[in-house]
Amino acid sequence: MLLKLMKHEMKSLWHYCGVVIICVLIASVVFELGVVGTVVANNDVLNIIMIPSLIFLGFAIVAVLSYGIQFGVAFRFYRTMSSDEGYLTHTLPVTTSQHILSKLFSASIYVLIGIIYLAIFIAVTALILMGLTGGIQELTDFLRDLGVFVDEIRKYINIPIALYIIEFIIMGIFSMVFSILVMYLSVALGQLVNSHKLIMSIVFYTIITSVIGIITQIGTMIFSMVEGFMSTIASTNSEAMTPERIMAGMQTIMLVTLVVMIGFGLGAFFITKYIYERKLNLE
Amino acid sequence: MSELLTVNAVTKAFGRKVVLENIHLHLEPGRIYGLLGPNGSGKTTLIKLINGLLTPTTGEIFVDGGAVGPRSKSLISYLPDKLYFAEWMTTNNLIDYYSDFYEDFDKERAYNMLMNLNINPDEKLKVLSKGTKEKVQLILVMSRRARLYVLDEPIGGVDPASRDYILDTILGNYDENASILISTHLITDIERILDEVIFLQNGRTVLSAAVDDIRANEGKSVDELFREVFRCY
Repeated sequence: MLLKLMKHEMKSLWHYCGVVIICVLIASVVFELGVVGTVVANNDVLNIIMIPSLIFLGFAIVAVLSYGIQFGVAFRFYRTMSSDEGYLTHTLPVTTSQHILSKLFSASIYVLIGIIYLAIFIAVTALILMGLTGGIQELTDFLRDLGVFVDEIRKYINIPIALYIIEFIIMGIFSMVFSILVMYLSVALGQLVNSHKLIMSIVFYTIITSVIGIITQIGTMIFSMVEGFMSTIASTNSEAMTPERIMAGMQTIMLVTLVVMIGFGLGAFFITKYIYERKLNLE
Repeated sequence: MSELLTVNAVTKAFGRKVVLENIHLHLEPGRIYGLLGPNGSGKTTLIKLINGLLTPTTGEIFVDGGAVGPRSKSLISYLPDKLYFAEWMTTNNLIDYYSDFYEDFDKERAYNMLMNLNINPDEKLKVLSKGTKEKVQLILVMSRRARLYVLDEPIGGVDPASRDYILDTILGNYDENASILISTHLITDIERILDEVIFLQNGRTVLSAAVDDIRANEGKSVDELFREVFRCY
């Protein structure tokens, strides 16, 4: 049933997120062509018009891709779980967990596509700019600098660099799943109110993210104090703030954030499940 | 005979407002029940509770002996009083959707009914009229070989010419051991198909009787009795 739900969910999400992806694809092609044209033409008058326009378009692409897909995911969840479409959703012979998980997995795939696309877009833009302005030499220099940077990082961390990168990727995936679950929880809480469910969902989202932000900060401070990292930061002795300690501190922050995300993510999942199972309010 | 649906002392309140109070209902297989009452009597709320779209404040509901959940949803075919499909979908999409999730869904039956009503399954729902969308919903619901059909205002939005076809569709597409619970205001139109009626008023059951008994004991049709019980002074 989970796979069947996912199949239909992916198809439905395309109607929300597909528009965003297609628009971004077209805008990206225009953007990259604009970048190439502007650099090649190297005309002062043209630059006055093109550079601000391209900066605006670039930011627009990043913003639309980041928020557009997330909005599509949240809106699709709201429509199918809390609005009239919920009559169909909640009368299917499947469990609430299957509903939430199928939506979560499908949404994660779309969000992941967005993130990968964004990374490719930024990388392509950077490569085009470097290639056009400095040629192969610029690219070679960049790659060499990148290698030096990685070597530096490697010196200060007590785990292999590959593991460090994996840690970042895991962190990113958890962060993505967590942010989706928070949206789901907000929609679930919003449907408990008899009117203005969508607005109330947004209000709950604002409250939840603010509370989580505060708790994460407090948690990080407590953990940092335990590890003595705080004393290092507070110290006026510059020698005490070694790169090793900064890296160790960063890892502590990452660990705390990961624990908080897993804890809150599980909490968000089970509360959402409970609300739709026990407090469904399709009025 | 074993009960198909048992509603046991169910009360539903929204905040301080009690919408249903101490409702008892026992539906047996092979019968057609009319759930009748004026606006605001609690018919739709009761139907939503049976389908798990609302949870009772107190009391219990059992479908074929089990609590409301995935199993009961596989036994009940529910037609809500509103349109609930995404507008971008075509009827073909919906048929695929239903056949994926409901093992008892009969595709052939669905396509036959669509053909009889001249509905193109390739058209998106957004281009269909409200009445046609309602027909599509009814076709999908009646294309299941369910144990219990719960129909909330199935003929409310369709033209009088189509009502007979819809009622015939309902009658012609349910199995002998299945039951139907129909909620409607249009009593005259459905009276001929009902076996039993349940009158709801202000969230309470005021009458539960067989249609034949009403005719024999009261000497009235269900419509006449309804008008008498729910007369507006």
